[in-house]
Amino acid sequence: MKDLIANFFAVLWFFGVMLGTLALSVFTLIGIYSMNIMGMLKSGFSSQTVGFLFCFILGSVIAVTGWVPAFRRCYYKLPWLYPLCTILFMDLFILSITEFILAKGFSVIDPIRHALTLIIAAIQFVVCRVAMCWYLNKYPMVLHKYDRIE
Amino acid sequence: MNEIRQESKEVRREQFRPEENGVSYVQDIGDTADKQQRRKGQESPFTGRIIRGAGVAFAAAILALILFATGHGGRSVDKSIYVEDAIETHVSTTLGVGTRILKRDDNYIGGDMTIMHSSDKEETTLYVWDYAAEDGDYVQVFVDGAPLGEPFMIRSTPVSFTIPSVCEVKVVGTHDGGGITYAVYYEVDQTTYFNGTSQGGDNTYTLVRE
Repeated sequence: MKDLIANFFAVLWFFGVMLGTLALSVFTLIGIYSMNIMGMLKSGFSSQTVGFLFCFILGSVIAVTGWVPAFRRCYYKLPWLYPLCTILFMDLFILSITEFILAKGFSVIDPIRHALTLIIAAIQFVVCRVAMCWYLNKYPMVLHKYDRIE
Repeated sequence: MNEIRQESKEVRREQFRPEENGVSYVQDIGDTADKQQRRKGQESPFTGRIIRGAGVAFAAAILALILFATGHGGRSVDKSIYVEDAIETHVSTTLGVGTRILKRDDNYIGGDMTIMHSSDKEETTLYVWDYAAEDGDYVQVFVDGAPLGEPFMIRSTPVSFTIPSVCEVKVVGTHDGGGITYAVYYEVDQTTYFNGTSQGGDNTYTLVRE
């Protein structure tokens, strides 16, 4: 009975909160890149940043899912979910930092400032992606690995 | 000897459980390995990783919220009784620096102004900010024809400049994000002017000592 109730809440959480948040985050990720970042690079003008807001939403949902045992069942039942959430969150956070740097740098129209902003944003993006690759290489998201260890 | 064989048989039974549909490892995580660990009062490495990951995600979420707040003025529209007057006259001596009086830009095109004051100070401070929505308006400030820095995006957080108390200040609209609405506050007469211009247009403020 306890299992049944926990599963019920896990299903409710997944379809009611997680799925929507993940879909929103995927669209945000595409939007940040194609509209905000590319828009700023093309126009040279700063724009409103939204990435961190969605990072906050996705991060909070991931945190609650991980902390509440009933919601955590989503990860056990759907083995692709935890890697998706983690990698999506990392991607979103990295791109949000890039968006933030560009927005700050482009808020003043100055060629030197623009060039510096581009260099910093490029370095930040590459360094963060390399760090992400290193982390995922060291701690791979292969679920059955845990099973073999146990 | 029999005991040893018995133990090894048990171990083998755990390790080689028949798989179903080739995805039994999915079930193993949730239904056996994890539950076994929980029964023993321990967390499985996978659960441990999820919980640790949740902590990291929460910390990152809080950091993201702080960074989001710093990137946005986050000022709400002032609802005090002085706002109505300020919207009508575009001048206020009661509303403070950085006050937001409109939710959206109203495409107001203002005019030039002469500011009379009796201050004997040589310099004064000028504050510039967006009094409506932060929609990517850019302005450039000139004092007696000389630019005070490069064009910059106006936000609801004021930007300050030190200027002579007797001079001609020109605010030029350089990029329109949806109607260039800006406010300027002169410390010399402690008055806020809610003004507006178009892209390429400008407003001149002449500061005169009485």
